[in-house]
This record gives sequence, structure tokens and C-alpha cells, in this order.
Amino acid sequence: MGATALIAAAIVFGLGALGAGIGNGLIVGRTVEGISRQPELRGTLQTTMFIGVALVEALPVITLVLAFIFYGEA
Amino acid sequence: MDDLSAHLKAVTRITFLFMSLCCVAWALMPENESWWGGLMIGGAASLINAYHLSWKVTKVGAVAAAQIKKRVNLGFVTRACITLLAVVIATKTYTFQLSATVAGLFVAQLATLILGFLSRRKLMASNPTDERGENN
Repeated sequence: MGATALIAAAIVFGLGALGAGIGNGLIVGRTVEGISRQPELRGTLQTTMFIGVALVEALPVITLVLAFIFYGEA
Repeated sequence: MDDLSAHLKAVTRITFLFMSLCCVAWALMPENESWWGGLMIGGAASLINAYHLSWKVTKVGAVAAAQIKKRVNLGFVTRACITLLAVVIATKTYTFQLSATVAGLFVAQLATLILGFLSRRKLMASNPTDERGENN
């Protein structure tokens, strides 16, 4: 149980962080590009970025708690 | 007031409403106090996370608008630590349900999503076509 739970924790948090990293990178990159092109739209783009990042980060938060549960089981 | 501040104020209102409803439910159904307490702690942590994220997003926007070369990050580790702190407080300090705390951690995110859809709908209703005259 111990080693399996540790591997499960590593996999669940690793994959969650990978997905969130890719998603956050895309969101922030496009937003920065948009703000650089049209600084007058900064407020709207920041709100869109806030919504996107908040949604993307929901998954790693779940995986973080799951990983610690698995770690506690190990 | 810019869009993000207005959005954050609405998220704050919804989260506080949710927490007050949890208080009422706790008073009416004290036998399920571990659920209501967990939801309240998770909701408070999610609101702190939303404020931290908004501060970071504003910082990234300011750096992008000023076009200066400076490394900024979104501070995910800080928010992850706040989440863990909420879970530890809920489960070790008190005896609240872990699943309720985790569910409470998504109140602000859910409010953000719903408010985003609503504001998009309002924008489409007021501006049915874009600057090229095409339908949105």
C-alpha cells in the first residue's frame, strides 16, 4: 500500500500540475499579447484572464488535496 | 472602477452569501456541523485565493501594459499553501469533513464562472455585432 500510494500521489499531482501549467501558459501568453497590442482593453482582458486562471487552477487544487490524502495513506 | 474590481466585488458578495447560508444551515441542522464548518472554511480560503489571484493578474497586466522586461508569476504555490492550510485547519484543528472543505474551496471559482457567463451574455445583448458588423 505504501509505495503504491506514493506513486499515486506523484502521478495525480504531476499530471494535474502539467495540465495547469500548459493551460496557464496559454492564458497568460495570449492575455499579455492582447494587452501589448491594445492597452486600452486591459480591464476586459484582465477579467477574462482572471476567470480563465481561476478555472484552470481548480484542477491542481483538487489534485493537491488528493495527493496529500494518498501521502497520508502511505 | 475597472472590470476586475467589479467582478471581484460580485464574487465576494456571493461567497459571503454562501457562508452566511452555511451559518444558517449550521444553526438549523447542528447534527451536520462537520459539513457546514468545512464548507465555510473552504469558502473563506477560496475567497482569499481569489483576492490573491486578482492581485497577481493586475500585476501581470501592469507589466504587460508598461512593456517592461520583468519576471512576474501567478503565485500558484501561495494559493496551494492557503488551500493546504485550510484543509489542515478543517481536519486537524477542528473535526470538519475533508470533502466538505474541498467542495468549499470551489465556491469562488464557481461564482467566477457564473458571473463570467452572465457578463458575457449582457455584453452580447448590448452589442449584438462586433466592430466588423458580424454577429457575436
